[in-house]
Amino acid sequence: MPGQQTQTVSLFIQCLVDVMYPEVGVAMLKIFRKLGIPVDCPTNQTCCGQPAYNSGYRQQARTAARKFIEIFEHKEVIVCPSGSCVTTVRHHYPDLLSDEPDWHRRAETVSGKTFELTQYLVDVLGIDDLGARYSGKLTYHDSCHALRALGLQEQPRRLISNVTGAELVEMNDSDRCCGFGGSFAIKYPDISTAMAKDKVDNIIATGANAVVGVDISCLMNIQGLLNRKKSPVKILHIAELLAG
Amino acid sequence: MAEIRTEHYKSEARKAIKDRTLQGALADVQDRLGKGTAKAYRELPEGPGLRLKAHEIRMQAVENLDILLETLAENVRENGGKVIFAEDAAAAVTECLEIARRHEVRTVVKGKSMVTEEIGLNEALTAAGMEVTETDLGEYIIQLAGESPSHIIAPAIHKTRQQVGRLFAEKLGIPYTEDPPTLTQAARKALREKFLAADMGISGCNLACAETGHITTVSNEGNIRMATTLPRVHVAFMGMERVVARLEDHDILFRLLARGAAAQHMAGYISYIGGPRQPGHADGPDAFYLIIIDNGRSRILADEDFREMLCCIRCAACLNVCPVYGKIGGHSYGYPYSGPVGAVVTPLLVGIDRAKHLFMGETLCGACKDACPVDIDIPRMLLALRARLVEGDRRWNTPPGNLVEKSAYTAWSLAIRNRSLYDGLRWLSAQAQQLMTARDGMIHRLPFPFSGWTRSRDMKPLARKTFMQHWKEMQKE
Amino acid sequence: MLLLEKLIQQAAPLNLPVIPVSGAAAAAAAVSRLVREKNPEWGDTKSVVAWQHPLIEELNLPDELAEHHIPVHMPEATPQTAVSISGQMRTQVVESFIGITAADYCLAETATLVIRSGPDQARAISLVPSIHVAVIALDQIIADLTELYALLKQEPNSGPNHLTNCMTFITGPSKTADIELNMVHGAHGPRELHLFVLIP
Repeated sequence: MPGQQTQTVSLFIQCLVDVMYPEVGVAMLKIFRKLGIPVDCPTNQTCCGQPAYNSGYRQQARTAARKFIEIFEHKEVIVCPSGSCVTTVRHHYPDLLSDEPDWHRRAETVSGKTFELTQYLVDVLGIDDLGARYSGKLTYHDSCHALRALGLQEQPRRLISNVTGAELVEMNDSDRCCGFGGSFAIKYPDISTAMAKDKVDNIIATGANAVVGVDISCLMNIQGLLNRKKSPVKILHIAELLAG
Repeated sequence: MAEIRTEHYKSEARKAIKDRTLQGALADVQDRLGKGTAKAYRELPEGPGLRLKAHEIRMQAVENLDILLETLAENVRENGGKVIFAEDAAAAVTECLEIARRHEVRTVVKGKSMVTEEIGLNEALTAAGMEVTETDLGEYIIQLAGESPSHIIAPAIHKTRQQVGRLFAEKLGIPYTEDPPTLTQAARKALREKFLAADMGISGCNLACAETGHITTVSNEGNIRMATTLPRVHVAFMGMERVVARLEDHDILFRLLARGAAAQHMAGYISYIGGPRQPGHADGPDAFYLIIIDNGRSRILADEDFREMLCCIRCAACLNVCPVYGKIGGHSYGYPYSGPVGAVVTPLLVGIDRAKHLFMGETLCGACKDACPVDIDIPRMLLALRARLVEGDRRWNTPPGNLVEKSAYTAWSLAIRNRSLYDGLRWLSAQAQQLMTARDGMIHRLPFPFSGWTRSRDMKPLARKTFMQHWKEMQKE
Repeated sequence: MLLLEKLIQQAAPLNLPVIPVSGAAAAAAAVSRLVREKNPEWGDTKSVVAWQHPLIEELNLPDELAEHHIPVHMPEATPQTAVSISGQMRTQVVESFIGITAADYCLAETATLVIRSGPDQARAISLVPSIHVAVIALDQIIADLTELYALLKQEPNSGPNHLTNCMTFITGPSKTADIELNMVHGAHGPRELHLFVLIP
């Protein structure tokens, strides 16, 4: 739909990307520039509130949600490089604000126009080839929320397989949780690590140079263990791959 | 009541993770059953969406529980059975002891039943002087070993064939073997004697059909048929949520139960039992009792957030896909119900605060919801339990949670509303982190409360510039 | 024939042989051969226990097996039967290595026998002996659970308890996977199930 392509994309930058992995945001920006899509980025955004929501702090999560809605509700379309954060906005905001009719309506408005990056590219814009290049073997980790809450399984794989020079090798149990789980990783480190070890073993077994994902939080967990093991395998957010 | 050891979740989990034999067994279960179930759903002519229909059937039953239970009881009584409603575990156990006394029962054979684990029935019957034999092979193994089930439908999955071989050699006096068919045959022989001699058979219920007045029992081994056919008395225990309205409701539920539990198209044996032997019939028990147990279920029913959990038919499909269960096994959950189902049901039965690790110690990955034959939204309820723990809830005797943590989240919620404050705090943290960053550019050790992370993993330090700073600079260019 | 083919196909992975036989004589010969070829699990002597049912009586098994000195018990329920299973019948069932029953229906989709208890239809005969032989007529094969429940609801005598006090679905021989997930047949119920389908 040409009408939609002229919509200005507002960048919804996951807090981890903002403060730890800004290169992912920069890559996403490059992708939209390459596509000639106008982009803006509200610089007063911070965090969608997921950490509080997932830990049971709904009052605090509501505070975050209202702030987010105020910032983004008048934007045309909101795109984020994280399936998990998009899940919070799309699925949890309306629920979180269900007792406040006005806020609930505003939450619904925002949730309807918030998309994960690969979801927006493939499902909304109908683009699965960005003319990107990469040299080597890649494997893809399915992040839980992107996969199960947003149904993103084919979309990222299509984008990756169209990267010139990239060879996608599926790992065993790609759809199995990496053990991140937010505060779970810190509060239950033994369980979290045991899960991450399985994930990293499966990644290494593919012989890939890098593991690609759509959520930097999972990749951060995987990177943490890969680095501790002194493995040469790198993490690569799909935005970085597609901008290359 | 079963023993409650939910407080030991973390330490039990640690033990389980270090147990290499257990790790192998868990991987095997999940690899075969978990993946088999997903495939079986995909191969359904209706596809995995059939689970939504099953959810509807179960939810409808749960929402009309009072009427359905009344109808069920009426029809079972009409068929010659006796129906007893037990408010809690103690009442259910007392009723069973009374029945045993009335029928002069000395020996009991049992089919696998989670609800009898929940109420601690075996201990009570044994204490009253009866010999109680678990007859499901897995349950028999763990009964001989003096352990508790580690999986809802494969209770002895944590035991290797070598362990079973040694156990049988010791307890049954057979020559040591680790050949599963030979071991199974030894149990078959020993248990056949028990079945033929038993005075009372005890079973659970997989479902109950209100309109016809039947309970249904499902097994692959045939032990439940033995236990409900040969002894003089049959006592069936049923969690009060297991009823469905109509005969045809079983169609979808049985098809999904077999797929969810064992990646089968149909369970080996399904029996509809609706009372004692009918006059003139060849065999069957003289007396049939159905004990319908509440034991906290009414409170679950009354809470809209958790009512959905009563749809559960205890098939264990969620255990077979849960990445946390796959690492920590069933015993870590400290109560008969393990895995994702245990993470929700156990806190609701034994106390939200007491069993908080069960729902906090999960990653919210959502695999359980996709595997559930009746499409129960377990992740939603894990989140709801976390909120109750934080906010406290009188109905659940749960006091408000940790004040220090709450203050931290409140401070955080203020900081994220104000970008300048947020940036200031971020800058301070970044300065502190510079001191911690190792030569490879990663942090190898973080202080409490983040030390859990760096015990096994490194972490990338905060970036020198945030994306927002990059953005602003790019706008100026 | 489509349902029979489906049944045979679905039964194969369950280790459930489905044997179509033309006419009673052929069926009798086939069952008799099975009885002669198989060995008892618990003792040395062979005996068979069977339902009193027209389909089975038609096979005339007592005569068929008399020359091989294998008794065929066809216990009769007595209204006076005081205990769950009368002494004599209990002995016959426990001592027999093969139990022969008919069935109400057979579901092709899952290779499932549907058996209701009745005056001469002891539950134990399909359960306690080591081998269960079921004999059904071709027209007893129906499609699936959906059809079964529809039929049950339409049966002319569908009183409040026309399902009887025990209706059992049997899908293959007894099995367990409780030791390291190894599939073993014959956990507690029959180790083998043979299904004979009488083709008119």
